[in-house]
Amino acid sequence: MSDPRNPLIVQADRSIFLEVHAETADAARQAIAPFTELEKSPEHLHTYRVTPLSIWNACSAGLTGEAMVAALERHAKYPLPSNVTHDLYELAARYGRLRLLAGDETPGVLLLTVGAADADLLTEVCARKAVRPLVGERAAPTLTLVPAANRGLLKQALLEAGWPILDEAGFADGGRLPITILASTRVREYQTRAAEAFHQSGSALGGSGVIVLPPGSGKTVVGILAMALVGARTLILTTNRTSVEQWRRELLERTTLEPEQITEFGSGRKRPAPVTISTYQMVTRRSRGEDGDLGFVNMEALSREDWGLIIYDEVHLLPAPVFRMAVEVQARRRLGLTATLLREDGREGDVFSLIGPKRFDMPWKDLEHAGWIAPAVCCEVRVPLPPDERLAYAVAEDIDKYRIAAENPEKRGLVQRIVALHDGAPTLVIGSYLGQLDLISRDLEAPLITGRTPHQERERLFQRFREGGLNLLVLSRVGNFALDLPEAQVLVQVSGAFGSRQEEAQRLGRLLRPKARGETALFYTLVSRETREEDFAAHRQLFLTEQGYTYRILHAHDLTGPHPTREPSSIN
Amino acid sequence: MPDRLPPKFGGGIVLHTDLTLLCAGREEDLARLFAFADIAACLAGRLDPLTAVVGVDETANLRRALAAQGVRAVTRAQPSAFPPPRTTRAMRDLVRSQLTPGPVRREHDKFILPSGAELPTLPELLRRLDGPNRDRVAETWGLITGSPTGHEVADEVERALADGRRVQLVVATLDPVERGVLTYIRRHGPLVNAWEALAFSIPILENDDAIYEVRTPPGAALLRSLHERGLILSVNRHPAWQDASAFAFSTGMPDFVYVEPTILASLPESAPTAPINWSASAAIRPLLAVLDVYRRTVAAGGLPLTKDRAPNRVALKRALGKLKPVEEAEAVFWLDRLVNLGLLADHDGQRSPQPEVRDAFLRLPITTALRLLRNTYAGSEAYEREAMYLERSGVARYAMFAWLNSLAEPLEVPDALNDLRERFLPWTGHATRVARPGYLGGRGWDRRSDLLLEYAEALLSGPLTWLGAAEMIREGSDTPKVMRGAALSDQTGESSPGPAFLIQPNFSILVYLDRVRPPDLDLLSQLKLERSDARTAVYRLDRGSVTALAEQGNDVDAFLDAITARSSTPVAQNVRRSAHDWAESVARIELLVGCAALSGPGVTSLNIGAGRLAGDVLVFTDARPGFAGVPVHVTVSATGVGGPRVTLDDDNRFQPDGLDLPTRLLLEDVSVPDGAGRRIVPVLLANHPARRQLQRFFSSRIANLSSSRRALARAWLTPDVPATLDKVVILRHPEAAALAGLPQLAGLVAFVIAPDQVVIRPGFAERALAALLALGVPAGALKDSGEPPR
Repeated sequence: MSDPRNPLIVQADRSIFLEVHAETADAARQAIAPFTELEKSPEHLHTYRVTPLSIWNACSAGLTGEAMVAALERHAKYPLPSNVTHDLYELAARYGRLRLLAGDETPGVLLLTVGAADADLLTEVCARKAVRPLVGERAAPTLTLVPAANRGLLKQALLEAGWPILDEAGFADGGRLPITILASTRVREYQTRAAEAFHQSGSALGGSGVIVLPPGSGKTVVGILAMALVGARTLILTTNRTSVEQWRRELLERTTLEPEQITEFGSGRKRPAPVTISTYQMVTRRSRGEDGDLGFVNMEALSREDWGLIIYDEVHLLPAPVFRMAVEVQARRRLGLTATLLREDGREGDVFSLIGPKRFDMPWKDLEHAGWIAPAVCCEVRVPLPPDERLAYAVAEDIDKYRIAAENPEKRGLVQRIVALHDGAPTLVIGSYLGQLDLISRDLEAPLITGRTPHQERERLFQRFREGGLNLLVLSRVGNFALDLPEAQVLVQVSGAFGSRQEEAQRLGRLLRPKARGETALFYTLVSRETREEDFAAHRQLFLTEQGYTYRILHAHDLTGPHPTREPSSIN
Repeated sequence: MPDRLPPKFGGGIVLHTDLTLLCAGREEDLARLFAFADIAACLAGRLDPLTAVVGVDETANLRRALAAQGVRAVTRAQPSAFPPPRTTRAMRDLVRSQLTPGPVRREHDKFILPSGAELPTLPELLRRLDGPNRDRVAETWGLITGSPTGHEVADEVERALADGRRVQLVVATLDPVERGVLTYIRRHGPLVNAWEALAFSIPILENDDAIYEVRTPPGAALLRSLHERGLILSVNRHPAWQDASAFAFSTGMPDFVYVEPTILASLPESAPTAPINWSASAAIRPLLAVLDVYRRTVAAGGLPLTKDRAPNRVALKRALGKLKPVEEAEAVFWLDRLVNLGLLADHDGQRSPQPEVRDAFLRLPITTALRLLRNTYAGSEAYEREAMYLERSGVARYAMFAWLNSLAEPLEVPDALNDLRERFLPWTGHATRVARPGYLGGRGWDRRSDLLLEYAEALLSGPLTWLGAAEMIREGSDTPKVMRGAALSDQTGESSPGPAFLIQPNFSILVYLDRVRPPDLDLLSQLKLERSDARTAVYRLDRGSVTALAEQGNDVDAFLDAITARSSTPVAQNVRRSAHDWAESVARIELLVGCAALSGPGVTSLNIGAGRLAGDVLVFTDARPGFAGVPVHVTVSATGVGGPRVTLDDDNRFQPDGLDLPTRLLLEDVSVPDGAGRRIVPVLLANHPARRQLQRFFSSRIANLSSSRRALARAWLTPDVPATLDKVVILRHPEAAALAGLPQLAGLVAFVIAPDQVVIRPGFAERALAALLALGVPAGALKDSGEPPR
């Protein structure tokens, strides 16, 4: 029952505050994590939210509405708002009442079924305008036939109507491909648990879903473990070619797969291998097919293959056309990997219905405590514009203001100062404006990698950085995604997109790989003072503090004075 | 002010001399009358959109003012069937004070009698007045023989009041409801609106005596009964509740009553009040909401008013921010309450914050402040704009309070409406004339009942919910339920112990409502309210809050320390540093001297992107020399004096490294990449927008420009726009444009460049500076462009 000493405050809008420093905070967090989404995790008070999807995700893991309410009641500071209790019971009770099963008799036909008491429910949902065209004949009061081709669309439509389907129709096995993890691969315990939560011993209860793990926690390894469990031909879709390289490298390093068994599906290389890796951009490229019509030729070609597993990397970035592909491959096992279920376009429901429910997640703080990801301190350094740019900025058109602030020439000296402060530490400098990065690269005498840098040259520089032969790299936005540079310890962001949460998370993710000696990672952002850049930086600050990172604000003179501070964490 | 009536003036003006009301046939007509100063001076305020109260002894003046404006007003007296409620001068003053708010109603209604006025005692009233009450009073106080005169009764009552035992005997005859009314007056008096006492005494009875069940509110009959026996005394000689059928013709004045102090002293002690419990923590939410609207109004610098004294719509939206319609309706509701409370006051066409009243309000105990909010709503007699026109809406609102107060458990809305039909309508009785936009003149009782229920329903989901008097419970698709809100609690207790705040590094501040004390409200009222729930509220320390604090001369550190003292967590480094930076950016004035203004027809059409040029500070304007008039559009292209010089080699190559951005951009158009640097190339620039600046650049900033190249540059860049150059001073300030609009700076400012920059007229810089100092801008905040701007 509620007790003022308890750490949870449950609110009528279904958000939940967790007082992190309370004695029973850990127990409370563990109790509610399965059926809530973590929205914010600043230092003292975390915000969770109960949503229909979070409830159904929990139901898919076997949790009941009663158990969810009991968990809230056990840890609540105040009595639960009655509407929250009501919603939990009602929404949880919806899960599993509509089930999709494989038909025994007619191939290509699935069975949408309900319990005896829910015949009216089946009538009601099948009569809906969006559902009616997707279902077939009513075979019995509790059974409606569904063309297998409509499997994904039906799940989408019913979820939209507030009725999630428990999909137990099973999966096609796909072409066999035995994969063994090499003994030299050190698999972490949570990675094994995540892969098993997805696979569910090969039963129809598993085989589709999303694993949520923070950047730097080894999601690629989880994907590889899942591939080994499924043991079938696999298609991996990811965000860019650097990431494709990373997948390929890790597969070769950690499994018994031979190089010829892995291929990149891209321009000029259109023959799939048992393990095929491609980018979202490549599969959604429009081109003319044999019939001369413009269409997603690559996507259609890949969809025809006999995959036993499709892995969607960074699933929160999955573009809309790939959802369409996901609709068509519902008979394949599907694994989504992501650091966040939040999508900027709000299509979380499509991820749930087409890729699958959340199967596993782990707060990054837990991983940090266990030493699996590095602790990080974020540090915003505010730099004034030089006098001769100040008025130019003040009177500039809005569209130019951001650029003037971002390219503040004072930042160049400051970058040099920061690099000197951390002399010898593996450091990345990331920015958005090539001219500025070019100048910085010359100042620092460090190589610059941009979108125009040939792929092989990029890989060569990354490899040198990994091996310690190079400890300073200047990167354009190509450094944002799926870049595996675990050694990076300091990151200096000189300019960035307009407060994009994704970009911020991805850049910080470059630093979170655990360090050999357990050092704290440092993430500097240089911001022109009293400019719009400061406003955008405020968004970043909010995002990062809400992720739970320690955030410091320094002025340029804090770093350039006679006694500069080396560790931002020591500045008060 | 209009000098004559607009042609579409509707007429139909009626002056009720006995009621001292001025009624118009249309809302806009009444609004227009208010626009005439001589007419407005005779009016004490507005009762509803169609009715205004005539000021004390202003009827004759009003007649003259109306005639002077050509308004034909029909004069009507009260229909003889309904005796007019005659008012004393004290009550007239009281009405005026209701309509013209004073400092937080002088902490609450009990203090609003005009200074020096004393309430007559019961014996004094008995000596002065005749009437049927005298016999009931005599009977009550034990004079049951003969027919005593007023003086005899008065003398006997005076003796009885001096005899504690006799007073006790009278008090013992009171039934629980009557005792409840008097107890309420003792708690909140000496002067209390009778309807309020009636509405809020019922739950006290329920608390004191569980077996007493109030099903049908006793309404006006109870007040009449008490009044007839001399147990309550009315300020108004003919209170509205004295004759229920007279309601429709009431002036809408509050029906204030009081009780002989001796009687109050003899009432049994009520049970000690319980501390606020968990479930009552939501009670303060209305206070948080009203203070947030006040904060927004302060941040907006007040609200300009339209001719009919309503806030300007655009300014209102700017002050309130992006709100959904329901939220906006609530915010407007709170604005009205702020006016009622006196925290906002209308002067010179502006609705302005009254900081001293705010301070007084925040010194009140929380329960008193809540009661005040409630009463300013119920007593304001303003109509519910979207819902209904309702005469005597104050009575109806108190009836709703009473009904909610008597709800023991949540009722589904259909049941609630049935209950309202049974118990709310008898309260209102014949009290109201009700109409709805589009439906005027509810004649039949059934129709009127329906309208009244619609009105009640609108109140439940609107004002009564906002005030915390009602709570609507919605659970999924179930029928919503209505229940008594936490703010109706009349409990005065201690807040729960422990820190009231939890400050986070993301600038949000969680507030535990059950731990809030009055001084905490002072802190919270400076912060942005993001959301509130039954148990907690979330505030945000944002740039607006901090700059508002700094502009009011507050020390941001002291403020943060005060919050920390009530918080379970310290202020994070990033929060404190950001707050410092925000505060530092407040009200900093920079004067940039030695700027050049290029003026001439057509120069603005050069369309040079701002910030694209290096060189002297240069202002382009279409204004003629002397800067008469304000230019429509001005483009400034400038950087500080003394930009970097560029050295060309023999092949016209130069290194862009070290050049500032505007210079690089300027040279981009006349150069091409060449190895590690760039090379100047001949480009025909006859129509290049920056040709003049390029010419200046080539003549002054190129270190080794040969004569041939100089000639080439001239050929490229021959100006075709005749223009003059003047030395000016640029004033920079976040509110520069607003400052320029002040009368103190009239004639000193040439034109506005941007919201944060204006150009001072040549030779007027010192006067502008002096004017700014006189405006209270701290001298330390003044900067000269001789120093690099921060």
